[in-house]
Amino acid sequence: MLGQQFYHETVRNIVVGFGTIFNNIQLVRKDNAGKVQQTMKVPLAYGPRQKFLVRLNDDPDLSKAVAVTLPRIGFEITGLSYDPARKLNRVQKFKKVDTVDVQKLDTQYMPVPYNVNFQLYILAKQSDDALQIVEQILPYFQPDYTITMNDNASMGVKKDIPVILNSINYEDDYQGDFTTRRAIIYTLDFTCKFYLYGPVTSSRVIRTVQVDAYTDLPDQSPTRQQRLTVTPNPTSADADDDFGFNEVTSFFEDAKNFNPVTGTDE
Amino acid sequence: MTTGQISSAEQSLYANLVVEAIQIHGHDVYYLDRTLIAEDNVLGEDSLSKFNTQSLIEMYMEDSGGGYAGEQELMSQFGLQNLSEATFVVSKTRFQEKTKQIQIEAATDSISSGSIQLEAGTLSESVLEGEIFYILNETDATDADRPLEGDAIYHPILKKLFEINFVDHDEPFHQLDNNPVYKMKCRLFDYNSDNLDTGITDIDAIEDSLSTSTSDYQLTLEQTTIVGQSLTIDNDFFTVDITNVTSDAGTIGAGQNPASFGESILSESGGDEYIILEDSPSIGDGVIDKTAQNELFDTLDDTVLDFSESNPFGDAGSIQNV
Repeated sequence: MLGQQFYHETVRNIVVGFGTIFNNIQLVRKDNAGKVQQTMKVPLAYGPRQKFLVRLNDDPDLSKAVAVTLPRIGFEITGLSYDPARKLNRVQKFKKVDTVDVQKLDTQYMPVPYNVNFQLYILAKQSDDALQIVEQILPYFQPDYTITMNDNASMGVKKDIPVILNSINYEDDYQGDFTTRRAIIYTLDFTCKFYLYGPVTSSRVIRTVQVDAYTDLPDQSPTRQQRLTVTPNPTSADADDDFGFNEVTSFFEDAKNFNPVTGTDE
Repeated sequence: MTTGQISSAEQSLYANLVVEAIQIHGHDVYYLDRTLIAEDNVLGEDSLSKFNTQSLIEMYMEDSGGGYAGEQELMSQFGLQNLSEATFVVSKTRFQEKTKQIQIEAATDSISSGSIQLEAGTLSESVLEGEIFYILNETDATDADRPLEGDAIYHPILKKLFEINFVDHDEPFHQLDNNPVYKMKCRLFDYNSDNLDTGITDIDAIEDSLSTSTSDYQLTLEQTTIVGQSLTIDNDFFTVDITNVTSDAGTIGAGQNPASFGESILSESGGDEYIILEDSPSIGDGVIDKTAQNELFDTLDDTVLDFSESNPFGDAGSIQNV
């Protein structure tokens, strides 16, 4: 019943948008005189991926000499949920003239509001590195930070997508025996309020409306007496043009009826 | 009944046997000293510590049942991590011999790399035999001359860099009333753009391939490339035959100041000092860090995000796309 194929890559684009927020975080390291000795951009990656690709990309020739390169940021989707507070009228539609065939009109029902939850992880070897990264993120979220997305490119819809910072958790395994690895991990929990779009339906534009009027009921087998025809003015107008209408009224005494199958009067 | 007295000769024999066993069954590894540069006394760490000295010494790698200990390779939200652990055993005697050495800094003279010029008449060169000579500290080594937590070990066979997490000094537990070894509990190094300037190619290459610090991409301009430097001929007996000199008239005309051509390097501003970047290291471009996606997101956001109108509540990615 549902089976009409469509895929707007909405969640994938949300991942790109979310990643873009954090893809240019820089940190510096200073010596005791306050002089900057190192400046670096923090590597960022979407966490879930195929294991074999990770292994082949990160250590293809088995020559990786270290455990991991730090600091780095990873993030992942942790859940999707319907957001009833943003529910839209389900019978309204987006309409747009087809970009390929201007004789057609694309329509799409109102999108469905969903929330996607992200967790962003910051792993650092030094507290100062982690604090620098966190401090460059938190001030922008009050508690939301809004990105404008080309939400549904096929229909030309743009939407402001708020990314809300819900909570921050901090883990530092500095206690315990010396052989246990100290991992400083900040976990930031976000909610991204976005919309999911259904399929786009494409149909031809109605360019002529014809109404035949009769003077008797159908059981008396009447013939048409009067015809009202409405066409756009100009007739070459497309659906998104500013156009008027031509109305033509015709009267008939030839005892014929319009055959909608052949499109002729018979 | 009290225990029998253990002679120092027995202790020495025990220590020598351990040295020999390690030399037979162990591997030559590089021991790297960590040098603290900017210790943060508040947070208790040093993010700029560097490793610029190394010493080749034999160590035995304890087998933990078929290879490395620890979780080894695993996948996490940060990509591939190798959490392999290993325990290195080093002879206390051999290690303290190394720590008593005074390392001669390379190129301290103008002729060869690393030497100390002896005062005339103090020592005849003919007295020295062998190939490598060290100047030894006269003070006896103590337990302070031990491997230190935070130092690193590079295993040239495995091509892995380990960080020492803990140095166990009492295992085995004082048999013969002494303990001839240190056991170093190590795990693979969490690389943090640390400076590795040891002079060992394989070790220093780790920094070259993994460091994300932009300072590793600075160019040093040669002095002779300074614009306008004059041509000098050392020998007075040679003159320049101007008829045989071909000059590129389109580039520099006679009497023109080369500096006036305007070839300059635009430096990035923003601080007291200006750094010339060899090539802006792009994290996530598949070269420095092959799993990072910074550059990928920067490219994809051109179509995903809309920058046509300024957004007072967020303009993620717009700065890079100006």
